[in-house]
Amino acid sequence: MAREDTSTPEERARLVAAALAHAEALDDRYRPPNTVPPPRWKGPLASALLIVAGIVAVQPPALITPPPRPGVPSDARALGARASLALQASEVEALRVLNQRLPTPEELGPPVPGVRYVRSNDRVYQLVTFGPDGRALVLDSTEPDAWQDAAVRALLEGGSQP
Amino acid sequence: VRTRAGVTFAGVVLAIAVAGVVAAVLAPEWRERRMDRHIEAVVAEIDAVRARAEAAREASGDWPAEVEVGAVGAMATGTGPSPSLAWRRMTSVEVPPPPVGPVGPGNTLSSEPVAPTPARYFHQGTLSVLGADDAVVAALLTLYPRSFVHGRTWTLLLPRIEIAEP
Repeated sequence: MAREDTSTPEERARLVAAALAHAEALDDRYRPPNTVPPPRWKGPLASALLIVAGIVAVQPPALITPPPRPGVPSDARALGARASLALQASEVEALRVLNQRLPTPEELGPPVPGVRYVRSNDRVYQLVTFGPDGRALVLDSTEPDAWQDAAVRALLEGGSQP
Repeated sequence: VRTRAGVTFAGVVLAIAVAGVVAAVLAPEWRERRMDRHIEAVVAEIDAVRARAEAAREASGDWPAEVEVGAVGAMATGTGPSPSLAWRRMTSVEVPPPPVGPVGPGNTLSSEPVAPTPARYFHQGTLSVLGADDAVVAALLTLYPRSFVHGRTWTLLLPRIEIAEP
């Protein structure tokens, strides 16, 4: 049988918890402030890395840059300009032989890209385009094969099938 | 300053900076691979259009006037504007030189009539890629020897076929 002046275990536990909380509160109040600053190395390092990333992105060093892809050689562009003229001229000539007159632009249809068909009358026409150096190349109806050198002929007629 | 997860703000910035350096170092290689994929997509579309044209030619004996063409999926490869393809059947003619009779004695031309040779007509299939990048055109010129470039248009020439008359 418990005596009346004896506390129960629950009361004792509550008293102990209250005492510990009070002591912790006092510790917090009187603890000296932490004067040692945390290490500050992350900020400068991050800034330096961001700058490096920016430099690498804007001007990548040769070490990480793949070799440049080959461009289109200028002689290939010059051949292409001549071949375009010759290709368009062959179609104009075919329609001229077939109809015994020059085709209208509508009859000719969409021209070869970059080539302009200028028709003066039923007999005379010019085809105009621009070479890789920006100079105009003109094919006149009096010389429809003027731009058909051996390279152009080989390109246009290669692999003909009867 | 700490986030709820216990990571400092400086730590977050540091992680972003490290990722930025890695991305900047790998970016040129990524660009190259993206361009390779783009060229592969262009070549695949060219071959698909050519296969359709050749199937039509085998069926009819002549290049078709029109072939269904599509645009290259540049969005999928992320290399800017998409080049477009165009099919065209070109007609050409070969007119033989005017007939000349056999050379007779005294080096004069004979008056014997010679039958004129009729003109020969041809159809040629052309497949153009318009608005292609310079690197793409350079690759296409290497892959397809019978092709040429003019401006920003690359054109593939398919074999000429002799036809009766357009």
